[in-house]
Amino acid sequence: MDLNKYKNLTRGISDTYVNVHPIQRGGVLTAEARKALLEFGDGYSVCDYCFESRVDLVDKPPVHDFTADVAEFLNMDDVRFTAGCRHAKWAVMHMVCEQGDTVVVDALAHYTSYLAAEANKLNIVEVPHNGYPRFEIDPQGYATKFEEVEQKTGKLPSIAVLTHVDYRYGNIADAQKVGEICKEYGVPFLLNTAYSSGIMPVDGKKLHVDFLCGSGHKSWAASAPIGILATTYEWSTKVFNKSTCRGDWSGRGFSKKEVALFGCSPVFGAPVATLMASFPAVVERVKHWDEEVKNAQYFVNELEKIEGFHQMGVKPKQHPLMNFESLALHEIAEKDKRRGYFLYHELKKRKIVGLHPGMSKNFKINTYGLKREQIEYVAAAFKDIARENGIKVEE
Amino acid sequence: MKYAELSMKFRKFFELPSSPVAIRIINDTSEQKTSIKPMRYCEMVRRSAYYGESFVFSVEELTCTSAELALGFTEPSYGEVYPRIKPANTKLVSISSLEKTEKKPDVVIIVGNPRKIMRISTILAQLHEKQPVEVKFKGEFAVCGECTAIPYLEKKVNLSLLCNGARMFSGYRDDEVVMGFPLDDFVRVAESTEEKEITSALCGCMMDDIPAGAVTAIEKIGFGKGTDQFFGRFGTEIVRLYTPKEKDGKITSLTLHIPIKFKDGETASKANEKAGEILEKPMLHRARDNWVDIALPLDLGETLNRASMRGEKFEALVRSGIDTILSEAEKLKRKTAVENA
Repeated sequence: MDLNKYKNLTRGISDTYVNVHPIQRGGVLTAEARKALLEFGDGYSVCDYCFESRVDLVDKPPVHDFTADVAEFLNMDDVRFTAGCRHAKWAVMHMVCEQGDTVVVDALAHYTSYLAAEANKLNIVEVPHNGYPRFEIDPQGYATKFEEVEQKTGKLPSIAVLTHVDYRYGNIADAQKVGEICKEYGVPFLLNTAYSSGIMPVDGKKLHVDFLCGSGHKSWAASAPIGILATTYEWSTKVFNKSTCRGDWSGRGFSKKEVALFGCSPVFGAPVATLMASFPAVVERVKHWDEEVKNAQYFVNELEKIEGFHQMGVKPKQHPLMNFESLALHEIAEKDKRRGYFLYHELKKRKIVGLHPGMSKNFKINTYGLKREQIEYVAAAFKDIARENGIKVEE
Repeated sequence: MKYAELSMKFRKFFELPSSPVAIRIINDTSEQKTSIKPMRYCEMVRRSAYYGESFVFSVEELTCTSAELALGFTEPSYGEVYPRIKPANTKLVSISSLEKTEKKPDVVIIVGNPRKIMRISTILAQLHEKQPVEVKFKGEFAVCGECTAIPYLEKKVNLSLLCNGARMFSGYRDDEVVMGFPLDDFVRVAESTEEKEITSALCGCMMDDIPAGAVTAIEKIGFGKGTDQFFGRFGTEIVRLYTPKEKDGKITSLTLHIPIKFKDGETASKANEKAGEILEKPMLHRARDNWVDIALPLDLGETLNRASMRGEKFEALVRSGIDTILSEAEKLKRKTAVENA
């Protein structure tokens, strides 16, 4: 066993690099969060003054207040922090559905939506998207699937899951419409906001959401792993149901511990501390969402000046996570000894990181939180790479 | 690939609780013997498999005369013995778990139950042009002869149901059997255990269920596969091929796409209005910001899987579609050129 490889761990990129990683932009820590990370980096560091046996009830640091503030921010009633958005989805399905029930998900859902259902032994029915090049989810597809499920199984699905912003094209789904349909049919509605809450305004009540899950490390400028599970008082007792078991010999019981959160949610140190520390900045940054959208549209416009570059998904772009076709670069990459890694290395040479190594036919990129000058720099780098390789670029 | 890595791959794929065991037959005394109490060869193999123990021993440390003959330490005194390593030039034998070995083994032995061996056999058969795995055993000279001497001398994989000695004195359980591999065969099996459908997919996820044969047939026409669509350059134009799904998940049609860029959204919107007059049926068109997406549906009349097996007929259908969409795209571009200028 070579233990030396665990020493002096570094990421291989410095602060001077521009990171355009599709899943990392919203999770970049704020300066306050970096400070909190050092302060609360030790394992159970937020538990110094735990008198209530649960992390969400700790008053110092103010986790207890924070749950209420996050609920207010999302316009929901009750909040818990979870071991990631995936844990939140699993927890809702675990507490709300019965084994063998059906869950309806959009066909662009993150794999963890499928796995949360699978782990809870639920049947999965997909609402299709409309295919190339838009890949939109039609909200009416939920009504169609609810009726199909009812016809087939004799009862409605026990939950409907919608990915608010999908991770593949960065399309924003019409959550409000889906929420209305769910209300009409009486199907509980779980909205996955991993790529929306924390970076753009999300109002749970307005969207008719019963359960809202978010990702601290994807969109709330927090260290992984941390998720947010918000619900309404209609559901909070059921979802945050407390333990009733007793040791048959010892008589031990854990009546304050919430079952689906493993008693006390495993977010004890850096995750919840950084989430809290970034929160004021998060509240502020969602007010500037329109600037992010403009920046994204500017970037798309610039990249589409390169021959063969084409942004897939809904246009004009409404979210900074985007997916481009780039066949012209792929044709160059095929002749280059670095093959698919050609684009990755060319960008890294220009101090731009975050593109998936090996991808050149199409790639995902995220401009969230970048300054306009940085976005201009990244766009110029792509054009530069194109010109250097004989690909036409519109002036 | 290093032996440790091979061993881990093999164990993981076949869910093997014990390690493959590396055997080296040494014809000189250049290596140092390990200090051990005398015991049976088959016991050493099992201890190596389960506890990771290593042994280098000579005939003096062996307590089983069958192994003495089978491993080639001694020539038989009366008649021939089969299986055995001959001529009997063996001076030392080295046994160690494969992940610990640094020197090239001659034979690799695995201890497993019939279920694990069954899975290994299916891979072996595939590697040998689907021929059945032929083995020989007779309930004696088992680990030493059937699983060491045969792979060593005959370069053949062999199975042993063990012998009384192994089961009575060396700790082998009733449900255990042993398989011996020449090194090359073991390496081939281990290296073929990649879970390709997982490792070659994006983020470890399979993004569609398009049959592999259909993918090949589409690629043959000149398309490359992207995450959700195929695309390729035909002339100067990039054409996309998409495989829309029916309500029941079947693919019975294809769509060809060319997104055409205009200078702004307004121009694209006007061009889209004109497209209704310009484009021939069944072309589809829709504006998307400063682009107009034109598409041509191709009805396959059967599932993509079956259609793609029709070779030239399938290719002709797609190629004719490509010609059509290229000419329609050209027409739309030409007739809207003034507005786009």
